[in-house]
Amino acid sequence: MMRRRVLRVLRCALLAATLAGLVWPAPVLAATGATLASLGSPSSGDLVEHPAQWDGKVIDFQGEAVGEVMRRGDSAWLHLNDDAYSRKAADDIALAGYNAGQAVWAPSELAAQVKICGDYSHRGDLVHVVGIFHAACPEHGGDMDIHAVKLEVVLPGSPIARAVSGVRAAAAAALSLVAAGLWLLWRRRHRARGRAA
Amino acid sequence: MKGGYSVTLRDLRRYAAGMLGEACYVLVLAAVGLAIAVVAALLS
Amino acid sequence: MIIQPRRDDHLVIGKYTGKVIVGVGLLMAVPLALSLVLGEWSVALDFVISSAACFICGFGLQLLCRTERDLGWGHALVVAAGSWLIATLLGALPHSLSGHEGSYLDAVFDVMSGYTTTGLYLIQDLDHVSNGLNMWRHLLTYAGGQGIIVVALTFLFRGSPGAYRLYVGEGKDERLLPNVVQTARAIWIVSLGYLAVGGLVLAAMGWALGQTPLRAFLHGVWVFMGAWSTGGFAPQSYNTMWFHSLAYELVTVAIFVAGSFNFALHWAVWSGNRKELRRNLETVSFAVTLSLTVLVATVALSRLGIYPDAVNLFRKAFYQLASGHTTTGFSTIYSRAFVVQWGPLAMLATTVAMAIGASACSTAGGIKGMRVGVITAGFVADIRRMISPESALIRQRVHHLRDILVDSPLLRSALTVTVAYLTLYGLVAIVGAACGYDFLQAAFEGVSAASNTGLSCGVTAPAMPVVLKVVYTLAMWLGRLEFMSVLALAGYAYAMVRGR
Repeated sequence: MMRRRVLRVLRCALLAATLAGLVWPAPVLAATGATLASLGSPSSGDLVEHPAQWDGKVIDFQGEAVGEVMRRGDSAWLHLNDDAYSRKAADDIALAGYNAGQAVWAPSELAAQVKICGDYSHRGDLVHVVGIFHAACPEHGGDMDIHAVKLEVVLPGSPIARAVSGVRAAAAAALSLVAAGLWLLWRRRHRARGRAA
Repeated sequence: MKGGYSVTLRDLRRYAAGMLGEACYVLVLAAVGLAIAVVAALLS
Repeated sequence: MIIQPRRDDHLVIGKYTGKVIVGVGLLMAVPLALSLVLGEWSVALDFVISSAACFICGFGLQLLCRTERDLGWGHALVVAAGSWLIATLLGALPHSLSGHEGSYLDAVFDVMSGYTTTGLYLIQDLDHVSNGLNMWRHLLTYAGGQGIIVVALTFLFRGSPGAYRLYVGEGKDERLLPNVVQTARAIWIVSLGYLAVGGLVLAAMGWALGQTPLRAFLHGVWVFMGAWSTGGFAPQSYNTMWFHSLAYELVTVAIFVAGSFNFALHWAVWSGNRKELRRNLETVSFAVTLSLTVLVATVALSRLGIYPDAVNLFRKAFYQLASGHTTTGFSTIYSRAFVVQWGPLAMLATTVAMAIGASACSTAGGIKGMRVGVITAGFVADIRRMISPESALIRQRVHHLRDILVDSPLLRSALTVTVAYLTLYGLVAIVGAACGYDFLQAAFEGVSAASNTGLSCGVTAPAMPVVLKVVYTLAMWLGRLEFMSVLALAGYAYAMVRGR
């Protein structure tokens, strides 16, 4: 009896310790006094392939804002894709290539400049940031990110108009008709068999 | 549902209790993971 | 002598395959409805075309193949493997029509990856994918997690012995309830119960983390589906790193670990037998192997010093390892980070975790904790026999819902399937290496595909060799169905040609 109680207390303590461990604030990165002189403008591919080389350095980075700007208090997360899509001509709505990009942590007032984020029906703002690259950001759970100190919208995004293809509409109608016909036939056979059984 | 599968309020309570139990199992796993990380970070 | 299948065999297989294909067509109603609600007209059109194609095939097959025969074991296995293949070929239509795939093969790869809850993908410009297609991507992984046969069983079948054989053909063998259709429904009660709770929790968190209510809701549902099915698809190309939140990560861990449980275990726990969580062979085996692989990865990473403090180390090592071990494939690091930041030892630990996988009769893949546990118990028994007097009778038991004696037939079947998995892992890794990839990376990616995990170290890309795309697709299919059905299908095809 006693042993079971001890075990229960131990178990509760373990759970409490876990919870405490989880909410314990991660050590916040000391405010960096880094100068704003950028040391280069690597692509996200360069950063992912050679994180150690760029870690802690001030860099230039440019890409299409996608998804949304997620505000967290006085800073915000945004994600900039620098893949082929972001480098296309403004009126080109075709898809372009694999996804690549970087997460950017920026003060909210800077991030507020980003108005349109890329998704199915939008081409996002093309955003240029200057900031410090972290291969494994100690402030953000080891995520790879860029802490922006400067941010500007280079090219505003725009909605993408998507026309409905006439050929596809016709194909859809024709196939639906055939499918409906087969279904009716199937149902009649099915019912007839049900009566027979 | 066809075949007469109805879920009562009592069932729901049991399901919720089951779900909580499973969440506790995950918490214990996470605790072990965290403990390993803490020890590793202290040692390195 | 190989007996050539008769007309009757073709008919019964065609009929039941048709039923499953109709199920896939019905499933497309969900993304169709979503794209209509959100005004994505051309996407809606793609889904009308695709589901009509499914209905034409499904009803057409049933009309052509009229028979009253019930499924035999051989038929059921062929239907299971065959309908997964056809469901993949037809399910790839919306992907292909969307223009996001480099080729139809890429679309097939993505859909097979979805159904088998793998999570590797070749889709391009993922951040510009429509909501309708995203719903389809995640729904098919959710449906594939329960098993598309289970989906069809729930709605389209009456409980005949053949229905149970189909269910087994899909790699599941537990009866939660005496009747197989009731079993399928019990699986759905657990899955939908979790969907309601998990989806809402994730949606609320997404909203709190700065998403708009609509996006938070959709992402909540999709990330839930990706997690619960141990699939690993996510709506953005950044996967779960998108959210940059410890709390969000932990909730996804809870969901994918729960998703990796045996449905019979869920049912036992949900019926009040909570002790089972501590005693079950699979939960114990999973806890041990996860802790060991986390330990190895953590030691490797702390030696490299990439993640300087304990919380970061925990968030990265535990998350990727738990994701790999449950064969989910969510990740909060870039694919290439496995190679450039994690290094060989941590990659090896992840590969081992993926290879073992989670529970049998769950949404997960891999060798499965049950087999690892049984083989370990058999090994322990052998050692005990060696050090005991000859007259002693050693009986080793394992606990899975009840005590099970570890005897030779049980050990033999566990070992056979384990060897089959190891062979598959080896073959896929060799093909990857033959295509010119570094062996460790080829092994990592190959094991990831064959164990239906979906973590990537960067090998999977639209530009990879066609051979490798095909091999990975086949490996996902074989791994998910645990060989038997696919081999039965191959045998059936062979018998058609060479049999007498």
